[in-house]
Amino acid sequence: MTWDFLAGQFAVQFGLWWVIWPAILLGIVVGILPGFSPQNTLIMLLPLTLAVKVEVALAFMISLYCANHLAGGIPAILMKIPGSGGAAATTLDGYPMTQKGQAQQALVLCFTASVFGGLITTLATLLLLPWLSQIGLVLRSVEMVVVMLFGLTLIAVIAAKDFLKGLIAGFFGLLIGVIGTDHIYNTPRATFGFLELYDGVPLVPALIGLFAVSEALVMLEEKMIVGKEGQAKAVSAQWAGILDGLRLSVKYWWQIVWTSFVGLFIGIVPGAGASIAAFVAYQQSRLWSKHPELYGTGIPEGVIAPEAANNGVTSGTLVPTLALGVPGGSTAAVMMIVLQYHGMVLGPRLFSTNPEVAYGVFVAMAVAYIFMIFTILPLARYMSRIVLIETTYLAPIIVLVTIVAAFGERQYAFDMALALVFGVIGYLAHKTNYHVTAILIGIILGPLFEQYLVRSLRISQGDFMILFSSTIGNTLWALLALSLLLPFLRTWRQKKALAAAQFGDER
Amino acid sequence: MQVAKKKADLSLAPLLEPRDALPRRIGLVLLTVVFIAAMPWLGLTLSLFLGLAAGLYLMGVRKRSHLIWTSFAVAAPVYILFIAVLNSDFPHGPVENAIAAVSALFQARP
Repeated sequence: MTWDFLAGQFAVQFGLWWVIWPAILLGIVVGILPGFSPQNTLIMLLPLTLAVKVEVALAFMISLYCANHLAGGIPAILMKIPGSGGAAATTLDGYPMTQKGQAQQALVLCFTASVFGGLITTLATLLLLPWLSQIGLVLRSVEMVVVMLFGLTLIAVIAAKDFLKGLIAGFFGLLIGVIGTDHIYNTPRATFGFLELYDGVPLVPALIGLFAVSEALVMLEEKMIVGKEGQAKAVSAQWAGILDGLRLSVKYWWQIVWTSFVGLFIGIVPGAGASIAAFVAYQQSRLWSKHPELYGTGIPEGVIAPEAANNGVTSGTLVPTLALGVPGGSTAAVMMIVLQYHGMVLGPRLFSTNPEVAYGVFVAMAVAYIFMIFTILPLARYMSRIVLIETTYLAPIIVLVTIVAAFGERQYAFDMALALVFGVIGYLAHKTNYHVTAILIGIILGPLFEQYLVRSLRISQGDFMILFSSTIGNTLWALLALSLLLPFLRTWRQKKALAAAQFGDER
Repeated sequence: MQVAKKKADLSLAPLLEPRDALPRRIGLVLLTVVFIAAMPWLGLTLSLFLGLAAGLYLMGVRKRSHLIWTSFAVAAPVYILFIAVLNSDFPHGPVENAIAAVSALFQARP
């Protein structure tokens, strides 16, 4: 790969602006709606992508995919309704920022973190592809068990205010995650006789119910979603708000960089996706922060970490797809189908036989991100005004439209009813102060954790020591232990420092 | 233990508060049940239009123009995105069939 070749690829991709732009707009619209994931949209648009030239199809698919990841954060920030599982962690700090009247800043942070997080990881992937493709081989089920535990510890972090209720919510989520067919023996568990639950509880209806429907049911108690002060700020939203968001993005540039790499590494592992990356990034960001107690109250870092991570995943999932021929996620699998239809054999040989496709994918991604920032940034000012719509209008629209969206993923009418059931569960949780995000973490990570754990134990024939059998795994265990101990160490040191200061005063 | 110490209680009152919002909340849940049940017959577009109009009425919107135009403004883009552009498998009803018939008529002309 020479610089001339790369420059040529960038020129080709910029020339495809007429495909990239509509794909970005469609990706944003579909991404805002919870329920329509990029893979669904791409499957529905297969007749289009199969009919055009392979470069055009790739540019279209990649732009739609990246825009979709970015847009999931928009409803998460404005209405506490994540557009996808990857944006669920964004609600933790994004929505409190909206309530404080900083919706515009939060949106800009979400956009810049997504775009630059995506751009940085894409460029890194372009340069380090041969080495990065090895990560998928190194991180096996044993190591992934620990990565999942990293995500699960976020339950404890969220539960900081009411530990018992947080844990109950988390375990409730894990219990729901158990529903479905067993990974090894294929025995249906707790499916209540519903065939639709044999694949486990589908994430999208759960997400829609727990966040969107329940939020709408709570929302109708008040006239508006935000208080008087927030409304006044939304009315007087100026371009200055966007500039302020940009200033904050520059201030936290390092946060964007390192959390996006968390996303990249997790994205490379086939099967792990944006939601786990976002949760782990949020948990790590809080852990290494100087003021962890402020997380959850609406601070910029809490928006940046999950957004940069879930866009870092986009290039990560394509690494094993192109380098090994193993799709890193369901969207990558659809892209693989399109590439194979066009006669591309994926795997290491692709880089020598069709370098313009292999590297072109990542160049297309970088170009899509560049286009995206100019498309979406000016919209932040107008999007933030959505909080000015009265809840008498918002509540029924949110409930019915998101219930319709619940149909989207698997196209079962059953999923709409399931979303409503989760909506009622979410409402009860809201009213009794159980954290819905803790339930969702259990639902998302529970099955993944179980799958990796059971697979490891199957390999070792039931010997638990396999979990401590690899160097990388053990290093991750040590880091996990450290991340659990660090908060205690920190409070102990603070107390000691406080005691020393008091002692000094007395003297 | 906390219940015994009167620090916590097991009453269901917080679930129902505030009482004035309760009829609207229960109404919205029931409306959604009817909406899901009616969709296979009415199709996506019509059931969403009627469901939204009923939902808005339930929330207290009484202006007929608001009821009709808000519901239309939501149902029309949903039709365009999911049925016209993405051609997904949502239930088709009178509206979808009528539009399909009309467009087929136009396509049939030379």
